[in-house]
Amino acid sequence: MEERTLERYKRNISRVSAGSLKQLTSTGNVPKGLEYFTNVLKRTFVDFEKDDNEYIGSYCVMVPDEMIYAFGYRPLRLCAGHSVAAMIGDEIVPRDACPVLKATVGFHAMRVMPIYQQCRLAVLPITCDGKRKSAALLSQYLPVIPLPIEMDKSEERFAQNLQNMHALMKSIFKETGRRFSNRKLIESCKSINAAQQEAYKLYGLLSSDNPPVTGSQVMAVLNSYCYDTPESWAQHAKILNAGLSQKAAAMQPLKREKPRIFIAGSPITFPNYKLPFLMEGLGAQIVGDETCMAGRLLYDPVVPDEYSTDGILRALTARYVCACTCPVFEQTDDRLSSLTEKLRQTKAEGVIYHILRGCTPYDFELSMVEQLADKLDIPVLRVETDFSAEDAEQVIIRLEAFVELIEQRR
Amino acid sequence: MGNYYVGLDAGSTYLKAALIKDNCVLGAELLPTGIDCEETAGKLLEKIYASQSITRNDIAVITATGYSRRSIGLADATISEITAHACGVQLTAPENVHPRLIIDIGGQDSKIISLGPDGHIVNFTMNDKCAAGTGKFLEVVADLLETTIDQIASLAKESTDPCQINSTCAVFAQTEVISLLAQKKSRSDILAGMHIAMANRIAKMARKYKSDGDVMMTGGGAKNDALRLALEDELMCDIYKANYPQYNGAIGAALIGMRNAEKEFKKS
Amino acid sequence: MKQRKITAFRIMCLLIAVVVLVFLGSGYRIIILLLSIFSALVFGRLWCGYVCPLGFYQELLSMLRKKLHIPTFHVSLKVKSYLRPLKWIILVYFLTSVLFFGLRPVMYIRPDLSFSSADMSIYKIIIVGIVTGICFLKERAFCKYCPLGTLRGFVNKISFGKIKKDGTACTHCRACLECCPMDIRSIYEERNKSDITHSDCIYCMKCIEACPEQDVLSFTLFGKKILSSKRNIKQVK
Repeated sequence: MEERTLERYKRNISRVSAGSLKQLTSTGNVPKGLEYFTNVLKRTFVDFEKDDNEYIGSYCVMVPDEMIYAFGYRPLRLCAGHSVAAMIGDEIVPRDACPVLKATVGFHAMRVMPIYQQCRLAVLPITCDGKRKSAALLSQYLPVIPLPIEMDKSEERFAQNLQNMHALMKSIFKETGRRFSNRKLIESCKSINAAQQEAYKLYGLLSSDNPPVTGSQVMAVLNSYCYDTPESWAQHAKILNAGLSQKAAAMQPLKREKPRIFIAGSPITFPNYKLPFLMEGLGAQIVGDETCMAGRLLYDPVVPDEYSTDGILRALTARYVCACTCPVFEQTDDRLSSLTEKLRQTKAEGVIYHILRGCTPYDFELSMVEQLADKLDIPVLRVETDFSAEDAEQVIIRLEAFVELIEQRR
Repeated sequence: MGNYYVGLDAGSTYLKAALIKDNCVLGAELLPTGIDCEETAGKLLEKIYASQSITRNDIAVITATGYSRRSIGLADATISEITAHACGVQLTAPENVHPRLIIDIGGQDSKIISLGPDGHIVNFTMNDKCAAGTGKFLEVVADLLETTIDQIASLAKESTDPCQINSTCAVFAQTEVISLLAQKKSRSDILAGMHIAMANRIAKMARKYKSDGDVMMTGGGAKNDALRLALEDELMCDIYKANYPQYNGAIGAALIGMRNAEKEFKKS
Repeated sequence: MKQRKITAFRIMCLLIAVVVLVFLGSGYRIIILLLSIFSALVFGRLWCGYVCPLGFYQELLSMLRKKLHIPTFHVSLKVKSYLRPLKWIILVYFLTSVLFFGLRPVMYIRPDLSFSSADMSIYKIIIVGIVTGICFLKERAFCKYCPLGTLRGFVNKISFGKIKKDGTACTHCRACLECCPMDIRSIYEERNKSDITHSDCIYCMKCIEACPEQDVLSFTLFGKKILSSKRNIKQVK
């Protein structure tokens, strides 16, 4: 009985994942070099490959990957975007919780995903309500170390966050018995920095006047970073970027440019690319995003002033917490400034504000983003959805009207 | 190629067609959509051509909108319903009315569209998940009370003491109607209560998008005077009824076809 | 690609300055004094970052500390606010000493001047030791209280060299604040004003080198942008 259930789970997970991967590579000109990244996702979500690496899982984008490398483990981002897992998680987590939590808990409960099974422990930043309460829930499946994050971005709270990071190091040592190595910490800073440079270049290509790559493909490339090593990812991203630059140089300028859309709001994670796929199907192009699993994943570099452990931890805290524009923080000016700058740089003509059902922090900031966009004379469309495909038709109607609105404004 | 333009609104319940020329509405026809909307569209077009004694060759562009717009092969172009409705009000607004808020109440969905001073869409929202703010709601109630959708407005106006309706779901409203009838409430009172409940639902959506300027109703629901009056009470402003309310989408589609053709002509 | 080039250039300037001032300067004291006053009036605290030998000494201590991976210490905002009046007390003490008593308190602090005189009291050694120790652990700790620096700092706000910031494009990543030897907060916090030249700023340009966003922090001379922050930040060594 158990075997059949696990088989069903695997079949459904791989079916949905494979479908998403197929759609990524179904557009006319698939960039050379994209295959490596879709293969990373395929190995993880379709083939369920196991390996001998030792992993520490993390949630959110506030857990420094560098710290996990310093202990000799590989980090894995466990935030999930799978509709099948969300369905299973729906039975465990409250109905009004966000689908990312449902999918994450679902994956743990299903016990078929190697990346979830192989984690030695997981680090969970205490950010939104859902994360706070799921710490106890997830500890049923694997050891969970909560990482308290101060929600105020003042100087005193920075000192507190730094202390929390030091405490996290002690907790990981206590839980795993391994000592951390400053040398490994510095090495990982270097390799992650290289990956960040490539990600920056890739987004630069995406927001150019005639992008040689689609927004959904870029999101997939960034997502695959969570399941790969920075060295390998950076190496292949460099090849991808070189190919794309060549392609961009050879492309003819279009007579009529597609509407340039920027995606703001709740995370869009593999395989839930419903929104970008629909937008691209309607003839728009996504020129950038500020979601945590794609646009913001590798954006801010870590800039240590010195390379003592304390110095690097200060730089990690600064990058992973202070520069983070998640709406869970009390102050909103960081996010609004970042959004203003990104809208200006990408020359966006419209903003799709994506809210996952149950994600209240993002919903609260909608009115501020609307005011901001109004000042910049850019229309905003609120799209609330979850991981299921049931509301595709309704979302299409709204997106289509939005695309027509932008074309009429020109 | 003539200079007539046709708009088709392929709704869930009815398929509507409108014929325009030089910013004038010359004809408007509708038929129940049925299962083969391509066939229905063909029949509808024949009807409309006959009414004006013209043929297909006189039509420059056929533009389709509505849910099933993509399955109508004989259409030359498609446009989303929201854009179509926003455009249609330019021809269907009564004299001296410049709509800034459109409340469209269709068979199975309702839309709120807010327009800028120049008629461009500023924002919009739709209720297409729940039947409680749509024509379906009243249809279900009318059926139960053994009357028709055309009669309910006048019946509701006769009410002296409208009932308080508790359920918001169109399906559960049926249960409530039966229990109200058992309490010997009159049809008029029940219908008046239903109109108020529906106006409540729609006003909740509309309030966020309402600003200064005229509010106009379109769609099949606009033909219902009792609903319009109930909405006026909820939103506390005058609400105008569009001319050709049910054809607003089709007229808008035809108009867009005409405008796009003019733009193309100017470019060449 | 100006990752560490500004700092390298600046260390060179400091090295040349030390050689000139310490080994050759004895006969040219008047010229040096006039140069110092001129640079103070026109460029504010630029002297502190590019010429001052005591500054060079502190930079060497910091470079040694960083090489050994020894962490620095940070004081909380509250303690900083208690220490702030010290700067003015020292300034008053210095001015009165120089103007009315002809003393040169810097003798007690600059190691080379102290040891060059024959009078090697234990008192002097202790002071030099304490100052060296603090400056080893905290970058340019003395410069925050240096009376000459404070005097030069008055000119910073009107000097022709300005540090400019594009507030909206700043991501609040703290890179500038963490590397600033003078712990100037306004460079990190300011979002509205574009001219953020602070009276403590020694124009070391470390903030511009560290800032990872394009053209957010820049240095302008007579209104022209000379240096600007770039995306390619300095690589981890």
